[in-house]
Amino acid sequence: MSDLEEIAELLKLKDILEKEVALMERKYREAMRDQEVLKEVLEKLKLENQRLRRAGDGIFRKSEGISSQRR
Amino acid sequence: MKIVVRPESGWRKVTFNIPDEVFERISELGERYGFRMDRVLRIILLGGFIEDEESGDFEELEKEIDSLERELYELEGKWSPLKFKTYYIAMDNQNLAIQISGLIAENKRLRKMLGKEDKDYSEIERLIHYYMGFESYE
Repeated sequence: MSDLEEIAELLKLKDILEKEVALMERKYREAMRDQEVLKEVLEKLKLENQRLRRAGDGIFRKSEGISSQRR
Repeated sequence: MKIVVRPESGWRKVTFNIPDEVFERISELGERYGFRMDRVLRIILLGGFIEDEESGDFEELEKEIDSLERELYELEGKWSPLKFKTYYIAMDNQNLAIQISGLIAENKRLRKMLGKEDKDYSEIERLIHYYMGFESYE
């Protein structure tokens, strides 16, 4: 392989690698952004489910109380 | 175009004509590849530009190759850890997606039990599906 051919080959490789790095940087940024969204949703859902469970317990206890009074 | 070639020392000179359009073409090519006109003519007349391993251009090419190889190592060194980090963030996201999926199911069940309206989770569910199916960045 002549020097010029080697340079052409290296330039081609450099171009491919530069594109790969840019792509990976974009994927990294996207994954980080998604992680923030997922963590936020997770926290919100945990709190909401806790609140709903408490509300559900209240209803359940109330209905249990009514049924035991009937007995 | 009349071209006069003089030796570095001595008095003899060679004169010859080249058609204007050929001269223009040579000039264009020289400009495009960054060669001065006298250098281009020298290459045309003496030849051996690529094959001449002892010329300064050969050293320049070697330098260019070394510099390109260094740039490639740097890029490779940047790309590998970046891919590794991105993969592990995606795996963390997959874990979060599994947890959220369970919480959404619970949320739907609780809402139904309490007679509340369903919430729209389509946006987050798209993200969940993406990360649930994630295996690698290959």
